[in-house]
This record gives sequence, structure tokens and C-alpha cells, in this order.
Amino acid sequence: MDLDPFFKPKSVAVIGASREPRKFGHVIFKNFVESEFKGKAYPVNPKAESILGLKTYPSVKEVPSELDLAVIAVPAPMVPPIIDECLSKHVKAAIIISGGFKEVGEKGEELELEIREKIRDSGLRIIGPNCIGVYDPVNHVDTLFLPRYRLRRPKQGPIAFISQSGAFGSAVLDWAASQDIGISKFISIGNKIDVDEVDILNYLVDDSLTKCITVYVESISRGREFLKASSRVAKNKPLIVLKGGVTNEGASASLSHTGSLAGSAKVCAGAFKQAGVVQAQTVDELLDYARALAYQPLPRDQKDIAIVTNGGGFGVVSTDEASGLGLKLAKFNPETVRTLREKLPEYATVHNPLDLVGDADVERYRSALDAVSSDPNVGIILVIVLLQTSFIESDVVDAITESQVTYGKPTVVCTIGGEFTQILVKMLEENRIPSYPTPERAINAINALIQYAKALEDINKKQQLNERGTAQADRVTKRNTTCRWPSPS
Amino acid sequence: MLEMKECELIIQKALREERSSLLIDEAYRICNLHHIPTPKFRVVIRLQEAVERANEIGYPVALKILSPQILHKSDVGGVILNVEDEKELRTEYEKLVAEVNRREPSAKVTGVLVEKMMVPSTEVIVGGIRDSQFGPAVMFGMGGIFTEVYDDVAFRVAPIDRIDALNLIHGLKGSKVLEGTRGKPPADLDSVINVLTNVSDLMIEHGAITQLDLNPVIVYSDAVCAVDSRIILSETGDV
Repeated sequence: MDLDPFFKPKSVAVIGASREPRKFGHVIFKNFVESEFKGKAYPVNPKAESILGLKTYPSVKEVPSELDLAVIAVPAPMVPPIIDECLSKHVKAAIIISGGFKEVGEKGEELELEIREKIRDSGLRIIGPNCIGVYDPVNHVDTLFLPRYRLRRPKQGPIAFISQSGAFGSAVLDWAASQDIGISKFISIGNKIDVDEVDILNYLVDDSLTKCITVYVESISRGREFLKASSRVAKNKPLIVLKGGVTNEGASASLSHTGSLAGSAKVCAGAFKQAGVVQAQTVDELLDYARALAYQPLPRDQKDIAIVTNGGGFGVVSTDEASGLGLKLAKFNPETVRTLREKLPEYATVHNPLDLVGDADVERYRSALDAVSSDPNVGIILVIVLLQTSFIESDVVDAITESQVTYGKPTVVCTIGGEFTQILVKMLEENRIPSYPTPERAINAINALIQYAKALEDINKKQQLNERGTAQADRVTKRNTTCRWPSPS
Repeated sequence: MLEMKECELIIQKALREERSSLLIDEAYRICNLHHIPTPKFRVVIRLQEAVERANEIGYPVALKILSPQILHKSDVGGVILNVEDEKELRTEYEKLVAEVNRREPSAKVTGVLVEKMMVPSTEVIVGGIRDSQFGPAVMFGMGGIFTEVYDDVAFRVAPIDRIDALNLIHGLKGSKVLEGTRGKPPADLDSVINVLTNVSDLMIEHGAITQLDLNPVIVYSDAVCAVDSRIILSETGDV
């Protein structure tokens, strides 16, 4: 199954392209015309001669070339006949932007069924309806009907983002752009009449530009296929899911104890763990985890954390946070302690969390990071750097980046502050060092790295078992032997 | 495969009789056929028979009422634990039948289950459900207060392998209890894992079972035992 026409169309028709600048069809068409989109874009509108100086076609059928993609932005009742036209034109893919379907009730649901019936067994794939479609910064496909001065488009980057909700998606995109976070592809799937999260995951698993996939979903339409697809993704790249609507309203009155304890949230959480999916509980976590997982290498066997800070308080809070999550702080080996004693002023205490004290300068950070990073007891490094002191200059970013690159250990930064700090945050982001404004968020991001590393270890263990055929053998013996029966007592 | 067939026969019989749950002896039998240990048990219909079976099984025993109309046995006085000897059995048996008759006069009592009373130890809960999004799933919880108060339970989607089962166990806050605390020896994790993978198979093999409770499963240092079992069937017989 190939979703390429959605992301790399050579020709696009915007159906419902309008001359009225605030209309969705206008914004979408303008996106194609005014961007570096390499393909051809055709406006379709029976009531206009030309839009943005380009000749308008009364229907898809009149467009003088083959069409890879149709973007449909007309009122819902007009969509089914347009789908007919797309089918007879052999359009490969369509994005139905229009709302007014299942989300408004029975009438809309009937329209969806009608369209689904039409495209059954055809080659036409559909994203939507009730969605904002696709944003691909590499191929300059942009069907977001929100104008650029309101929704800044993120630059290209390693993170793919799938959102069931268009509003959620656009808000996060705009925010990501403001933070200089790069996106590989964005897909808003809306009512999922055809293409759903499973299809997209199966597509993105092979997308070399995507290093990490983030998903916001409210409903998972095909649970078991979703599990299969997400385990396949998890084997290859990190997958982070924020599942909305997880309150336990689903734990309806039930005959059995198990039933009453179930509720979709817990089963979902279990399913995610099983598949190696990292579950985000909040909007912050979704991108916090994505940045850590997309930018940083995974910890190897050694997963203990070293904390290096110029503020004692932040070190303490980070330590508490880590132990609350069951994460371990590294015990420095004697050589590290010796080096640190040599390099650090006498009044600095040499243990983990390593407090470099308020007058720490970049040089002190540099020697501390060198010593700590080369310690085999250290698997992950949290650098806390509070930039309110005048001892620190912006080259602390270089010190952190260099030690990360030299030693290859996952490194996460915690820093909070005003304008000066924000400049350094962006420099760090540029260097692919994720930074977080609070110890809690930084430690949580580290936890995500550890979780995913462990999930991968499990996946590999399972694979080895399967390859040796022992998993199978295990099942057979289980059939033939009993659990040890309790002896009568 | 014979085991599968016997399980299906038990389920089909219950469905023919339009029952939405299995009697405990049927549920125990299905567990045993799936290599999930339960206490030794016998079904009796008369006091004299109960005395004979209890002698075979060995005291102490528990008595449980069997009636298709009674799902929650202890709510109607249908369970008597720790019957120590024959004398006690004679009085308790009559009391059990009389009490259930008094509180649930319309229920048809088909017999009484005599089962070996197991020595107390750490308790866990194992369950199976069919989730609307993910299908058959296995539940694990630490027994007693952990489940009731702290809601310390977790799920995995069936089928699960041993790695999934171990992660499921270790994911619980209360699972430290199984490592052995306050001088108690560590629990037989291997057998707990067996129960979990067997319940996973059971849920996959029998589509008519919508919910299953093993509550509690007593965990020893060298064995496990499901001392109560509830199996709920779908009304249509298949899902």
C-alpha cells in the first residue's frame, strides 16, 4: 500500500479553490502556488475564471493532466459527486478537508458510508474528512487552510506528527515552529474514512526522513492492527502516542471483577507497553519525549544518570524526581572522583548530583562533563545550567554539545529563564540537544529514553527467542506439562 | 486437543442451558485443562457423599454452593471456609444449604462443591477480558488492598509471551511483595508467568468466554493455586 501520492504528488487539484482570500480553498491553493512546490497545481471551481492568475477548471474531469492528488474543500453534501469524478479521472489520492460528516450526526455519517462504498475496491485513497490534511516541508505539500501569519509552518526536521484532531495538530505545529522544532511530515487524519493511523504508521516506518513518530489519537479504529503496526515501527524508530479520551468511562458495570477493573485506558496502556510504544500523558510530554528520542542516542546497558548543575536546588529536585520514577543516579568511580577533585574548587562537593556551584564558568562545565562522560558508571547525562549568573557565557552550548558528540552518551539539558536563556535554548535545539525548562520535564524525557531503550531490548530478546524457535517450543511444552500443582497441605 | 474439546463441550452445554456463566466446578475444570492449578475439588449432592469426598481430599475443606442462578456465592451465604473435620462438615453442610434456600429461595441448587482449603500466602488476581479496541486481554493485579484501594492492576493484549508476562508483573507497584518481604521466601514467579500465558491462550482459544476471574490466585514459593474461578460467557456464544 502506497501513500506516496499524498506526500509527493506531481499534480494537485484543489477543488473548491476560491477567490475569496479567507476561504479554505483559497488558502490551500495559495499554499501550493506560493511555495516551492515542484508539481503542478490546478484550481477547480465552476464559478470562477481564474484564481491567483491561474486558469480555473469547472471540474476535475476538465483538468488537462493526470492527477495524483485532489484536495477537496467544498460543503459536505457536494463531496460524493466529486469523489465520482475523481474516480473516473483515476485520481490516486484525495484529502477531504470539509467538515459536516460523522461529527455532526446521522446525516453526515450516511455521507461517509456513501463515499466509503464508492471507493471500495478502487485505487483511490482518502484522508479525512473533517481534517486539515498534510504538511510536508520537503516536498512543500501544504493543505493546511490556516494562513501562515496565523500558523507558522515548522521547518524540516526528524519528527513526524500524526493527529486525529486538526485543531490540536495545528496548535502543536504552530508552537513547534516557534520553538524551532523541525517536522518531517504532519498528517491530520480526521474522521478516518479510509486512511487511518495504522496506514500512516506502516508508511512512515520506511520513511528515511522520519526518525521519530508522534501520534495524537482519540480513538484507535483497529486495535490489533495498530499493535502490529506500532511494534513494527518501534523496532525501527521511537513511537510516542498521546491517547486522548482515556478516562475510565469505559469501565462500565460489569459482571466480573476483571471487567470492572478494566476500562479502555488500562488496556491501552498495557497494549502500548507490549508494542514498545512510549505513552505520553500530556501535550508537553508528546514533544518533550519526541525531541529527546529524535535528537539523542539511546543509553546502552548502563542507564544510570549523572546530574551536573550550577544550582544546588535544581540538582536536588532532579534527584527526587528521578528516584520517584525509579531511576538510578550513577555512583562515580574513584578515577572520576579524583579528576573532579583536581579540577573543581575545594568548596565543590564531588558526588552525584554534581554541584559545580553558582560561580561555575564554562571551563568548569567542560572539565566536569569530560570527567563524568568518560565514567563507565554513567549512562545518561542531565546538564542543568542556570544562565542568570554572569560567569556563564553562551559557549556553554558548545561545551555541552562537544561532550555529547565526543562521548556519545545521551545528554539532556534543563534550563529556565528569560530572553538570554531562550537564545541558548534555540542554540541547543539547533545542535539537537533537547532542553527543558523544569527538572521534572527533563527527568521525564530521560525516562522516555530509558523506557524506549528497554522496550528495544525486549523486542530483540523476543526476536532471538523466535529465531531459535524456543518461543514456539516453549508453547508446546507448556501444553504438555502442568504448572507445579500445590501439594496438599 | 482432547483438552480443547472438553472445554468446548463444557461451554456449549452452559450455552444450551442459557447460562451466562459457568458453575465453579466447570470453571475449575477448564482451568485444569489449561494447566492452571486449582485446589482438589469434588461435586456432591448429598451430605453422606460430602463426608466421603472430604475424607478423600483431606481436611480442612471449603464448601461452595452450586447454582446457575447464583453468581456471587458469598453474598448469599453460599461459601463456608475452613471446615476442620467431619463433625463440623455435618453441621456446616446443612447450614449452607438451609441458608442459601432461605436467602435465595428461587435458586435451583444443583450441588455443593467440596474443595481442599489452601494454606494462606501472597494473593494475586489474574483475569481475562475482551476489550472493545484490542480484543482478548490478560489482567494481572496484586491481591487484596493493592487492587481494591490502589487500583494496582495492569493489562496486556493476548497472546502474551513470557517476556510480556514478566513485564506485566514487574510493572505493578505492589510486585515487590512477590520478591519476598519480611522473612517470606520469594514467590514462584515461573508459575505465575505460566498462569498468565495460559489465561492468554484460554482467552484466544475460547471465543465464547468474555470475562474470566481467578481471584485470588494464591502464590507459594514453589507453586500457585487459583482458589476461585469465575467465567462469564457471551450470550450469543461467539464474539
